[in-house]
Amino acid sequence: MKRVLKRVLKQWTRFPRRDERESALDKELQFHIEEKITDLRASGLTEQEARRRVRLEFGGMEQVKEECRDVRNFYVVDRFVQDVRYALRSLGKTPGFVAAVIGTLALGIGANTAIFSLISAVLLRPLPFLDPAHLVQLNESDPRNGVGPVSYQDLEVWRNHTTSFDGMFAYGVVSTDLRGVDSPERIATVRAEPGLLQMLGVQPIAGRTFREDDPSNVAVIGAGLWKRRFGGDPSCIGRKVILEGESYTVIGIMPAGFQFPYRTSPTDLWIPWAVRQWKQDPRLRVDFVVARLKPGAAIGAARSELDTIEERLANRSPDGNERPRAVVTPLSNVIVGSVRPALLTLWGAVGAVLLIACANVMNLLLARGAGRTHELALRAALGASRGRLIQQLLTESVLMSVAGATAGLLLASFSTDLLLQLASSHIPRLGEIGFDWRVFAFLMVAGVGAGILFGLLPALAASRLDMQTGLKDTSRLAGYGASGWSGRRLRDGLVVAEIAMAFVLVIGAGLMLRAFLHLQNTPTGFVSDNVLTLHMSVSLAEYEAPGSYGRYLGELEDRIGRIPGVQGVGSVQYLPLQNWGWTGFFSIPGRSPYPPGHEPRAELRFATPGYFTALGIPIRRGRAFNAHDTSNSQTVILINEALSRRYFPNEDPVGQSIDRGTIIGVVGDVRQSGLDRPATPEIYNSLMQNTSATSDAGVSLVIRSRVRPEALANAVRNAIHQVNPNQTVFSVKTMSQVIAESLGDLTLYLWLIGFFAGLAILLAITGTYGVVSYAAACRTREFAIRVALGADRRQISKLVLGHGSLLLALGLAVGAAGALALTGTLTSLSSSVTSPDAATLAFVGLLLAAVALAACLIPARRAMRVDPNISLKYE
Amino acid sequence: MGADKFDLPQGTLDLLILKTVALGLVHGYAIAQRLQQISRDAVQVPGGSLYPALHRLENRRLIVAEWAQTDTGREAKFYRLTRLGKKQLQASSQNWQRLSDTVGLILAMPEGGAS
Repeated sequence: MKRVLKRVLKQWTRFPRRDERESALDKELQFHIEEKITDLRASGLTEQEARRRVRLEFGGMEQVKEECRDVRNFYVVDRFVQDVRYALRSLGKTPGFVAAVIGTLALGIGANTAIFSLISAVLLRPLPFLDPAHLVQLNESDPRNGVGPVSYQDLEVWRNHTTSFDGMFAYGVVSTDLRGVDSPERIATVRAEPGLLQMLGVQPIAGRTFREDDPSNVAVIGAGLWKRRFGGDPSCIGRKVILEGESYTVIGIMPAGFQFPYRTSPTDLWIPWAVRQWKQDPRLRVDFVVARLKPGAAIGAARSELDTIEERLANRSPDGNERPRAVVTPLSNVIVGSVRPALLTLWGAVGAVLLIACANVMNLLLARGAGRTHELALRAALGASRGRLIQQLLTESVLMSVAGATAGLLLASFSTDLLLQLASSHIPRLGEIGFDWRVFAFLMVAGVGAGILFGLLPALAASRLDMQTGLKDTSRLAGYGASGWSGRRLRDGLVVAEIAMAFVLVIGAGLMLRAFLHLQNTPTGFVSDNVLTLHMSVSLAEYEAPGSYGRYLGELEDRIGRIPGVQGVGSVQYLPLQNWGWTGFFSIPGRSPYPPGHEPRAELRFATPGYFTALGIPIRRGRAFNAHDTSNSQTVILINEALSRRYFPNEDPVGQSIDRGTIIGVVGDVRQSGLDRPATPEIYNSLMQNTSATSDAGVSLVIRSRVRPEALANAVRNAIHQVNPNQTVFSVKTMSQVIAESLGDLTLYLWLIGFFAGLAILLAITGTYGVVSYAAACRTREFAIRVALGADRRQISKLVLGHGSLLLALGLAVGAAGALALTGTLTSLSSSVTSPDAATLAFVGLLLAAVALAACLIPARRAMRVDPNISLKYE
Repeated sequence: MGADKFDLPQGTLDLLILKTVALGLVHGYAIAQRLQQISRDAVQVPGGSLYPALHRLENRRLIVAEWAQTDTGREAKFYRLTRLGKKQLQASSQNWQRLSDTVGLILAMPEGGAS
């Protein structure tokens, strides 16, 4: 590439400028002609005869010159400039056509660029750490629990016995209550082993990160927190923040954009985690482990090294078969692996939109080419070779597509802002979205590539001309048939392809909409209308006395319950659809032990007595918690129907005791972890008896009201602060909002696919309209003759509609087949999307057919009104 | 016109031009003249073929051109062989010689001597 460039440059500078070259060529040929004439005259011919002979010898002077230029490299640049100039002039004559093309391409390329910038930021750009390709996450996997956290003991063994790693550090994320200069807030705090931040290789913008010898109460803060709490003051190093009532000294500030780990909400605070001081207990587990492979160490080698160690440990331990296996995952997969298929599906969808746009433009160009026969024939007669004509036509199409790409870039920059707002909580790394070199390269490739894609065939078709007819035939509408059998087929084929692709996209959107509606109508197990929820942090240090936290919650609920309009109040440590996954084993006394791997297991929830009525969860048997269940009384639990069905299938569980307490009632099943996931066995403990679960998670208040729940928010906040002015309150949402958020990513993908499908329909319909009306216009003469010979006018409109319907039917058939073949990709957006069924296909197909036929009606009516008197005279 | 004109085989024109230019600094018209004279009018290269060929050879760096005065004091574009051109001429001449020998050998076979 560089060599070519150098050669071109050398040629460019070595040779005289274009006009000088032209005059040199003239002069050289002129010299030849004059010498020849002189010689011929000397041999006795007249001047006139001599000139005639020379003219004969040379043939067309312009053609000779063109041939001389053709063999020279340096004319490539000249010719390009000339082509561009000519293209601009020729395009300038048809501004409407140019606007249509650029507009179509801007939509197509813009949408593609927006999605690609998403893909670039999320999937392609390396993680912003030092040598990110060598960073991996370590997990342990056992047959019972699947992939999960690593036992602390195993981590120690790995650290001491592996050679493929340069570092291995544990971290965890906890939600903490941050107090400091002003109002308290709830933030995600990362507990990281000293050394982890150094391993990531990102330098703090001020201060330093913590080391092994640092005391435990130091903190590194992120740029966001630094701006928010300290106003971006660099002298805040050494100042204190209060976390969960304990004081931490700020020792470093990380740069803006630094995120570890990647979560849907930013991580802003890192504190040391002294895992190494833990006692050796096989049950202790660290949440996550991140490690760096040694330079040159392959991930496979690291895997087999850990496998060998685990095998050795398995041989030593008594329950050998129960040993977990080590799982090594590249860090980038951990972060974005889950959204990759969805993003690629979106890219495919938006790529189809661009293809449809290109097909439309190609159709426009084919029609334009047919109208330019005369001009092209003239150029060919003046010495332009077919290659030159193709080059010229391609220059025009590439110019238009590059203009379209530029306009598309503007569209994309608007839409990425919008995407950022819509998607930032569903797609990791989205904050890094921006216009990088990849996006630029994509834009260029898309722009030039689209120009060649839609320009080449029309250029080939237009340049394949017969000079005789081309020059003679000045009629613009030489007939649809006259543009050649292949031209007609090409045009019709393009429309079929457009309709097919649009159909596939619309089917996709339809299926997603179906899944969405289905989920929205799924019974949740609770009543979400008129429910306000909010989150409170808990610092248990203030409630050490047994039952004191329960009494505090009781007081809060009592106060809130007295607010006018409030119907019921309750508390739970995890709201349905917002948080889940805290499970525990239980055993039922008197039952024979379950085989290993099948021990009873249930999702654990902690609630106050009022929770069930406040959220409308029915009590199926027995009773709910009440005020008499206190820390002094017998431990009581509620179970859900799923647990009752699975473990007490033929008996009444109420009154029975399991190791977690006495069952006093059975409550209805609630979809906790997602609308698409059925309820799993659950055990509810009373928050009045057991508050151990609340320290990390805090507590959610659920308030059922008779009025609009949003209207109560302030009154509730005030009531809470009357009881405890220091109580942090956040995430105030209605339960309907909580449900909507749980459908957030599906909603996002639905909107995007729906939007692309809409674009696709719009483009495909315009394409169909364009081709059908072009064909009809070409046949005006034929129609006029038919009418003159007495044909029924309705018959004429049927001819036009028939053409449209045929294209439509073919397109729908191909599209349906494509949709069936592509079912798998859609499930990557949401597992609840089903494969296309007859009903969806029929509905969507009819919809598309109706719109397309409506578009064909316009040319059909026009054809019906053909006046033979005018049409036949016109030509 | 004495001898019959004939069509040059594909690619031979380049070789003939190179050979002519190898004889010394020469302009386009003189090349055409010389080819016609040497071939006794058998080879007549029209300007429409000569000049594109010259420009092609120049573009391939086999010949270079410079502007100079003719004997009659007119300015003309003179061509001269480059080192690359010399090599090319040599290779092409040998090729041609081999081809012509081979073709000659085959054509020299007596006919009707199958028995």
